[in-house]
Amino acid sequence: MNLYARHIPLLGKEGIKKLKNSSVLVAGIGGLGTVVADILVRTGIGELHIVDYGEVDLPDLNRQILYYKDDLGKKKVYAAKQKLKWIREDVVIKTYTDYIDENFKLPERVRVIVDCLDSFKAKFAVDKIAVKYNIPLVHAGLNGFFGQITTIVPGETPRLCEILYGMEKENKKIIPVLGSVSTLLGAIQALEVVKLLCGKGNTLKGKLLIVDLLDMSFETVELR
Amino acid sequence: MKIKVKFFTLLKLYLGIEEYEVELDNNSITVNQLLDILEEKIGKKFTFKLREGGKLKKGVIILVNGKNVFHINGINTIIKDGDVISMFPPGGGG
Repeated sequence: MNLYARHIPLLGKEGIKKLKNSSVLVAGIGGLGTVVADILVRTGIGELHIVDYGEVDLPDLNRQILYYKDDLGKKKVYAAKQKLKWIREDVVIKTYTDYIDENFKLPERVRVIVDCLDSFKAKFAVDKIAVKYNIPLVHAGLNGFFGQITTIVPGETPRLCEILYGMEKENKKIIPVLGSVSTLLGAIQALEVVKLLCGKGNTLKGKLLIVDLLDMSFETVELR
Repeated sequence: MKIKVKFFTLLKLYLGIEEYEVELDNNSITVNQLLDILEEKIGKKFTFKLREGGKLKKGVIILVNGKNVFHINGINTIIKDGDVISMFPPGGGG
């Protein structure tokens, strides 16, 4: 049996091939990033670049699906790489233990950046990287039961720093989060990446999806 | 004029209101005037979360027809008949 047997009716053999030949940067490998990376590897992505300076901490285990008790204290990117390789040995995983900023040198093959970062400062840095290299950025951010997602395409959509202008000031408070919230948002981000790479369906390009899981509502705002 | 205001996430939770329609005799109002009207109509103090010293505070996004008012004319942005205003504090977590 083929690992992608259930994907072929949806994405076609051409879509599977496109994913296999694609490279994606996952910026931040926490609540959102572990879900994005897990799904992209299971969907057949060829190459993943993972950036995160952090180590696995006990409160991470409430939602960060690639980590287990044995990973406590380990660099997240290495613990994540190990689990992703357990899923598919052939996937190429490149890891970076840097704090990502606007000077990050984007690997040449990367076609999409996924914003799974946990501060507006870092989120705005990847927004700058996306503009500099002229590639799409799939953004998500969350707080408690709530979150928002959009896909930024430089030159076609407003930039993240324009949509969320004024949020660059760091909030030192610990952001409360449930696994269901980060997992759902991460799953939508991963689907955005797959759709962008395969040219399938409509994405959140130029639209902001606001998710309220306390009220179980999903509302899309058209952006200008 | 008739305008629609939508509150999202923590702001919706705080106010207990999802959507509010404002009907006025004016042809246009500013964001600042809208905030005064909303506070009076809703009957709950919340504009302190959105403005300070005559300016908009950073922390809650206000979109007029999908555009951040900081890129229009800030607190003096003109709102007209049929406009949709969305207000939400975005999530910064990952």
